[in-house]
Amino acid sequence: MRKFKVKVDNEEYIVEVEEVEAGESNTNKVKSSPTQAQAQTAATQAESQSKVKSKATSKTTKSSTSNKARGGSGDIAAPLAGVVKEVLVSEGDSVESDQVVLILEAMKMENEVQTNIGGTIEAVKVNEGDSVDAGEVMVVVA
Amino acid sequence: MDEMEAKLQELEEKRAKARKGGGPERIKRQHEKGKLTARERIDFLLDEDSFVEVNSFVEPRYAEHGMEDKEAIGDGVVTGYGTIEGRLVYLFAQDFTVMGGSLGAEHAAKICKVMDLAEEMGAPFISLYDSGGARIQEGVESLDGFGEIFKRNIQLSGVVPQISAILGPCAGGAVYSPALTDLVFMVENTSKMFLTGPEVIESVTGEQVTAEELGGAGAHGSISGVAHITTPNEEECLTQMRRVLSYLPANNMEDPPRLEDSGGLTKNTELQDIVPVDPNKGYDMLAVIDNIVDLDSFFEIQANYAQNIVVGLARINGQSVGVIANQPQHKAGCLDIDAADKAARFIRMCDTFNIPLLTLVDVPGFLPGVEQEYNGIIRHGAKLLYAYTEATVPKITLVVRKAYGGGYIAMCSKSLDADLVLAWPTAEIAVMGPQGAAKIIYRHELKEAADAEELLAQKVEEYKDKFANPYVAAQRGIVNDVIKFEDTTRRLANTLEMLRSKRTNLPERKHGNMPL
Repeated sequence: MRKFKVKVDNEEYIVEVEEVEAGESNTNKVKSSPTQAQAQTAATQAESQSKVKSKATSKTTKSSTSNKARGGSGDIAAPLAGVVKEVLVSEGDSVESDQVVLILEAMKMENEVQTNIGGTIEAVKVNEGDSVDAGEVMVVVA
Repeated sequence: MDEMEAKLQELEEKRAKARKGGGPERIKRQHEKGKLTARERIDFLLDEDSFVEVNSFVEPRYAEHGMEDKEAIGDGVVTGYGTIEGRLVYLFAQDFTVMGGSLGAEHAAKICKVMDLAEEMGAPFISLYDSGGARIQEGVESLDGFGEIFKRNIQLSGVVPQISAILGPCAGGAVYSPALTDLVFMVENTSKMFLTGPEVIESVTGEQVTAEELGGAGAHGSISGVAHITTPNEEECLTQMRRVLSYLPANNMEDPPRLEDSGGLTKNTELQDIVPVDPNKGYDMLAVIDNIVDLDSFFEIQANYAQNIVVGLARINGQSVGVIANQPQHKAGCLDIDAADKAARFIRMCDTFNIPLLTLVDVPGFLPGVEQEYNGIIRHGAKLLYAYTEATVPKITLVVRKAYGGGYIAMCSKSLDADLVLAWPTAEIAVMGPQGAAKIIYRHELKEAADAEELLAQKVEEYKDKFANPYVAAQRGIVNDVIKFEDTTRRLANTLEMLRSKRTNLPERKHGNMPL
């Protein structure tokens, strides 16, 4: 069992992570995936069953971090750890699928982060200049 | 009726019976699932009327455990040979309408027969999977049958192209047969591929997951990387299988087919508008590739997996090439574990089948992170270096823009044995980006400076002028030429032509010890 500090929406959670199978390291995925972190926070209360959930979510999270992920998640997560250079939308804006919502400076590049679904911006969780971890949800589209 | 006529009639009847597989009721059910039957698939895949069946009268070896009255002519699999665009291929298609396509001893023996023919004749081998798995009634002999198939998949590897499509369930040990082939095709909502299914997983670990989430085309096309091509339906899948063969030779002793009429070589007028001069700006590497290669010839492989690197087959002046390119639009085009694995496997496939490599470099480096290190970026990244150096096919590298540090070396640099390294005027070949480099080189001066920020900006500019260009590398022969955007395709075609007769003599060895 290992303990991790996880920040979700600037609130800190302590999560405990148990390695399910030998050689399979889920530990780091937790760090990079807030949705999973929530599942794992629940896991500390309701042990084994949620282990399951977290694993499943880690998969969906992974695919939603890539810009062209299928399935159309409204949570727009950072594909890489970096610094928010420019937020191009505000809450209430309507956006189309594939529209660039944010510029993330990472790996010496200004990365255009797109939404993979159309809709309305429900929340902008970051400000320009914020540092974000890979997998951190920055903008939510509903 | 005379005796001769009776004999002929007997043959006709048997043949007709074999052709109808599991009968109209089961065929109807197959169609209702949106699936074609084994024979319909073969007809769609091969040139018209070219299919010749082998071993159509084979029946199950055992009639026990409730199989006494079951008729299973063909034993759940159709095997044989035919042509695609006039070129010989061997294939099998599992027939789900006959005992659920389950694999018994004779079923396996039929598959092995055509695999042996493919090896001896040096022709591609195509596998169409649609099976419930091992035939439990035949016990250990069906397991042995799987082993015989796996062994042949491995023996054929690197000898003839092996192409698989998962057109239904492919579960348990059976998955290792396609996994051992060169390219795996999957169809959305039809293909299911997993070692242990949702029921077993739930009973062992408690995890709840649907078959499609666990082993569908989406999962394997974008998360696991098991599938190379995913398509929305079967017809598209079979069409793409035909297409991919057009880039590949029949076996490792032949060169890939060359198209005579490629429409001529024109100037690349759009390239310099696609690539931004500012190294911090993203762009779509796919647009660059499309602009360089013959019209509509790019066949992308693993398009949704590790999208920070793009790999695929294409043609330049009618000649097959394997393209490997960093994609600045995804994760800044950096190299990570999945990208290294994806590219290394593709490079080895191309090398096996005598397809020259074209590497387009715009790489900021390897992705930093605890997760990457813990999961072994060192040994995974090493595969990429290994695959490039090991490859003896012609290797051309074009530095598009950034080529920094270890990432630069890994992307088929001169030192990893590229035959010719070209660069565009936008290229920046350096140990690291100007910012990072200036911070390290002038760290003492910066500490003591009154206005550190201004000094840094000044030093960054100096560094850029001095190192962030292709000419430092060109002065040392690390880049062989700096070319204009508009001349790109002509230069690449010329270089491919020049390298056609490449022969390398390497010391004899059993095989290298590639990091896995």
